Amino acid sequence: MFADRYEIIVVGGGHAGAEAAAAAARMGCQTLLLTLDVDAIARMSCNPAIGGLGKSQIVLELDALGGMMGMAADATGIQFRQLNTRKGPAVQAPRCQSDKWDYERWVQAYLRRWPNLTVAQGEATGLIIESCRATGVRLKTGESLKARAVILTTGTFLDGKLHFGMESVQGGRIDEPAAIGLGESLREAGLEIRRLKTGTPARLHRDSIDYSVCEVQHGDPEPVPFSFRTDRIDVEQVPCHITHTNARTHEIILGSLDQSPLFTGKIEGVGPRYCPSIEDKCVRFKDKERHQIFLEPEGRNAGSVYPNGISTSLPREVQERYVRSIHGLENARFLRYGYAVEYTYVPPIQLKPTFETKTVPGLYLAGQINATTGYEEAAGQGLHAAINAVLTLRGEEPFVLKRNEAYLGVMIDDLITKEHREPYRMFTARAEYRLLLRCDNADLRLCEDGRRLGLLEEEQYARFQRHREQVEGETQRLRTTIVRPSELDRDTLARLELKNLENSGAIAQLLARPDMTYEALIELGLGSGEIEPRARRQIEIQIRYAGYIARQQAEIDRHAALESQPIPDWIDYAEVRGLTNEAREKLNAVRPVSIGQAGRIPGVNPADISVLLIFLKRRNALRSPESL
Amino acid sequence: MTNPRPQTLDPRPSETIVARATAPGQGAIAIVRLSGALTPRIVEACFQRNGKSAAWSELPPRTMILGLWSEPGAAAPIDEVQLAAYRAPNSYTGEELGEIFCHGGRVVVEAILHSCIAAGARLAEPGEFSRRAYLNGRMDLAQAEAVCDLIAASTEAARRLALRQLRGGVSRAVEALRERLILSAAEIEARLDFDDEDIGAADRSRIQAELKALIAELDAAMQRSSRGRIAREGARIVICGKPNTGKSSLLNALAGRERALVTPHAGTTRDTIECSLDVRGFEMTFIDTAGIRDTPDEVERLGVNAARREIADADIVLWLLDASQPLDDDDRLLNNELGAVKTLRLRNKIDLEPQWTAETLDALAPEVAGPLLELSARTGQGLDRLEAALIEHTAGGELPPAEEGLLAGNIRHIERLRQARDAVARAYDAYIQNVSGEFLMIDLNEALAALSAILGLETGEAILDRIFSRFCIGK
Repeated sequence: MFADRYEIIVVGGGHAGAEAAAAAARMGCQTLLLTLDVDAIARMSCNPAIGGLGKSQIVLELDALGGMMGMAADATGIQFRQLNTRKGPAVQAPRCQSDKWDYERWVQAYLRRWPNLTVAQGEATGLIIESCRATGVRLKTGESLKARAVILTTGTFLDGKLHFGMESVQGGRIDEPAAIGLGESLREAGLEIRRLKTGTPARLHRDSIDYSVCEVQHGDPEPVPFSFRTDRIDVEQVPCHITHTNARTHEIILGSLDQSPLFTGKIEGVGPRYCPSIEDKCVRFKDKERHQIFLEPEGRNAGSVYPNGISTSLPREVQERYVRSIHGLENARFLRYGYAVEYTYVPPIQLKPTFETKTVPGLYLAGQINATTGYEEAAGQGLHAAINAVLTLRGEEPFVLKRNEAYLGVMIDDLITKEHREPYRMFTARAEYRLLLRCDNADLRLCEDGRRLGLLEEEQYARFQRHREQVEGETQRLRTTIVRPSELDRDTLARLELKNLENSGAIAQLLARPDMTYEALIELGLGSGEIEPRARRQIEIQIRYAGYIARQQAEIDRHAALESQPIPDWIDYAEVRGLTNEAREKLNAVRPVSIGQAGRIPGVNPADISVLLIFLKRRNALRSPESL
Repeated sequence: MTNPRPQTLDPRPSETIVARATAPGQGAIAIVRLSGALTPRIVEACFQRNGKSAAWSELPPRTMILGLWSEPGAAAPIDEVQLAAYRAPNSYTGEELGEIFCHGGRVVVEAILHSCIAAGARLAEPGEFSRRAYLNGRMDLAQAEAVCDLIAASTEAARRLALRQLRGGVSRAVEALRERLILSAAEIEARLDFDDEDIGAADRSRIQAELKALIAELDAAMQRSSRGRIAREGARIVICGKPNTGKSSLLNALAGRERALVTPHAGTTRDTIECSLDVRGFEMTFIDTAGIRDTPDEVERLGVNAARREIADADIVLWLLDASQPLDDDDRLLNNELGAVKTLRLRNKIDLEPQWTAETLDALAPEVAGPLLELSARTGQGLDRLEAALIEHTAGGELPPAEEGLLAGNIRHIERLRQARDAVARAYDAYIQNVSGEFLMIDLNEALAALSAILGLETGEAILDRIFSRFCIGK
C-alpha cells in the first residue's frame, strides 16, 4: 500500500493538508497525504463559502504563490459577491458560496494530477521521533511510515469531541471518527497542548423551506473570480435567502440554557467571539430583537441548506423547536443537527517562523492545530509549512513573508509572537499596512516568489508578466506625459462632465481625480484600448491612492533596519543584563528571530529592545551597527 | 487594531533626539543636548549669532558660541544661550551633536526642548544618547553594561514617574479619551471588516461630532499638561507616622527654610498635603499623609488608604517617631507598611525627654532598616543632616541620570497628546470629506497608539475587542 519512504508526510486532508500536500509534491518531493477518509479531502465542515474580508486577501496571495484554493473556488462557486464595493480597494474582497461537493471533488482531482503525491487512507496514532527529530508516523494498524519531515494538519479531529446538548461523543466531524493518540504523542514529544471549541449549525432540507417569505439575495451579475488565472466564472449562479430569528426563538433558546454544554461549563475549550453560537448571541445581545440567518445552499443541486447564523450545541429536540419558530422554517426537516466540537491544538508560540516546531525538528504544524479558524487561514498555513519543509530539506533559506508583504506574513507573525485566547481569524484590521496588502495587487506582490519556488507554472507566470508590464509601462507613461486642457476635445469633455480643468499637468494627475476613469482617458485620446481592464483598474488604484501608499511605504522604511535585524538563535536571555523580568520571560517563551518580532511581543518595551541591541553589538552579532 | 504600528521600534535610529542633559532641579545653568542628522538644520532654524542665523558648517566645532535661541519662525527669543557644536563622528554619540547651555529654569528648558521638537527632533528615550554612543563605537566594551543598567534604571524611574503623574487625574482623563477614541474607531472599523454582517450603518453625525469633541478635549489636555499643573517633578518624599508625631511641623519647618515651588494645598483625600520645595537645587515634593493607624472611622480610613498609595509611589519615606512618647502598637503597625520601601527613620522631638532608644525601635520594627536620624522640627535641630541625607538618597542615589531627567516625562506626554490630537484632526478632515474608513484608520490608529503610550498600555486588539462586545458579529 505504501512506498517505503517519503520525503514529506502530510497528516490530515482538510484545507491545510490538501494545500500542503499539493505544494510539497509540486516542489518535487515524494509526498504522502495521509487522511482518515480519502473521499472527505477538502470537505467544507462548516460554511460552504470561500473568501471575505482578510480571508480573500489570503486566497489571492495563495493564488499568486501557486496555491490551488483560488482556482478551486472559481471552478465551483455558485454565488459570487464583491464586498465593500463602495469603499477603497484595500477593503474590497470577493466572497463566494461554493458547491461544497464540487469543491471537494475538484481538489481531490487536482491532487491526483501530481505523480509524486500519494493519497492514502489511514490513521496516524503517534509520531516517530529518532535522535530528537520527527522521522515519520505510526499508524493504528501498527505500520510505521518514515519521512524526512511530517506536517500535521489535524483540524478538529485531534482528540475531537462532539457535543449535542449534554451528550458528547468522540468524533472529528459529524459521523467521522476522531484522531486519538496523536495528541498524547505530541505531549510526550514536549509540546504543550490545549483545547479549543467551535460549532456548526444544523443542515436543513432544501424543499422543506418556505422561500416565499424570505428575502432573496442574488450574487453579482458579473462575478469577479478570485484567481488571476481564471478568465471568467462559468458555473451557473444561484441565490441565497435571508430570514431572521424572533422573540419566540430567543425565548426557546434562553429557556434551554441548562441543556447547553457551553453554558453549563461542560465545554472547557474557548470558542471564537466572531463566530458565536446562537445561544451566545441571545445571551450576550439580549436587546437585539432578531438575528439574521442566511440560507445558503450547500450545492447547486444539493438537497441541503446551511442556515448561516444559528450554529449551536443545544440538544436536538431544542434545535427542532427553535428552528421551527423561525419564519420560513416552520416545517423545516433536519438532515443533520448542529453540534459543538472540542479539539486539541498546539499553541503556535511553540513554532518557528517556518511553522516547524521548536522542540521537534522535522515536525511542522498547519491549520486549526495552530489555533486558527477558517479554510483560507488553514490553506495559507498549509502552503507556508510545505514550502518551508521542502526548502529546509534542500538546505535552502526559509521563505517567510513579512507583515508588510502579505496577510500571510501578518498571520504567521501574529501566531508565533502573541498568545491568543480564541481561534485566530484574519481581519483586515490586523494588517497595519492594510492599504498596501490588497486583493488587487496580490499577484504583483507575490508571483515572482511563486515562480522562484517552482509553484507557479510558466504559462501563468507569463500571463502575470504581461499584466505587470502593462501596469508599469502605462503608469510610467501617464506620470511623465503632460496634457494641456486646451488640447482636449471640448465635446468629449462636456460629455464626460469634467469641470475645472485649467492647469496643465501629467495625465496621471487627471486620472487621480475622483470623477475620472481610465476609460474616460481613452475617450479623450489619452489612454490606450490595448490596456486590459484588470490593468486599467490597477493603474487607477496606484495613481489615485499614491499619497496613502507612499505614506505607508515610508512607515515601513522607517522601521526597516530594526525590523529585519536578526537575533541569533544562540542567545541566552538570562545573560542579557538590564532586561525587565517580564521581557526576559516573554523573550524566552517566544524566542523571536528578529528585533522587529521581539518588539511586537506584549510586555517587551522599547528599553528592552535597546538593551537587546547593545547585547548583540557586544557579541558582534549586530548586522550593520552603522545603520542602527 | 488591532494593529497599531509596532511601538517597540520607538528607538528609531535615523531620527534626531533631544533631551535635557543636566540634573533636574533648579541649577543656574542647564544643558540641552541634541543629536542626529537633523541637528544642523534645527540649529540653523533656532539659533542666531549676532542677530542672524548661522550655517552649521561655519560654526567652529567644540567652541562655546554666544547667541539667542528661539522657536523656529518666532520673533522673540526664548533665552540667551551658549552653543557648542560637535561634528560627526567626533561627538559623544558619534552623530552631529549640539549642546545648548541655557538658564536653568524649568520654563526655559521646556521651551528649548519644544523648539527642537517643533523643528523636527523628538524626545530621547531613556538611555538613548548612551545607546547611540555605544552602537556608534564611541564607548568601549566595559561601558556597555553600565549603559544597560542605566537604561533599565531610568526606565523604571520613568515608569514610576508616569504612574505618579497619572494618579493625579491625568490618567482618568487620558483613559477616558482613549476609551472614546476606541469607541469611534470601532464604529468605523466594524463597517470595514464586517460589511456583510447585520450591524447597520454608522451614525455619521454622531461620529463626526465625537471626533470634533475629541480634538477639543485633547487640546485642553495638552494645555493643562503644558501649564505643568498635573505633573510634579523631582523626588517624591512621603512623611508618615502615627498621629501627633510632628509630621505637619516637619513639613512647615522644611517649607520655612526653603523656597516653596508650589503652594501647599490639600490633596483630594483627607489629610494629604503636598508641597514642592527646592532643596539645595533639587526639586523635592513632600507629602504629609494622614496618620496610619487602625481606625473604625470611615473618613479617616480613606485617609489611611491614601497614605498607603503614597507610600507605594514614594522615592523615600520619612518615618516620623515621637522620641518623647513610648513606642506602641500604632508604631508597630508601620513596621508592616514600610518593609519594602526605602525609609529614613526620624526620631523627632529630641528637645524633649526621650522615652526609648534605637534598640527599642529595632526590636519593635525589625523589618524597617535604614538610618535613624535625630531631629527637632520645632527647634530646627537636625534639619541640615536630614537634607543631606535626602540628597544622598534621592538625587545622589537613584534618581534617573541627567539626560533622562524627570522633566522628560511631562514633555513626552504633551508630545503624545499633540500627536494624538493632530492625528484625530486629520481623521476628522477626511471624515467630513467622506473618505473611506480604512484611510481614516491610519490616523485613528496613530492617535490610539499615542494615547496608549501615555498610559503605558499596549494597543493590542482594543478595537477588535470593542467591536465584538458592541456588535453581534458572526453569521
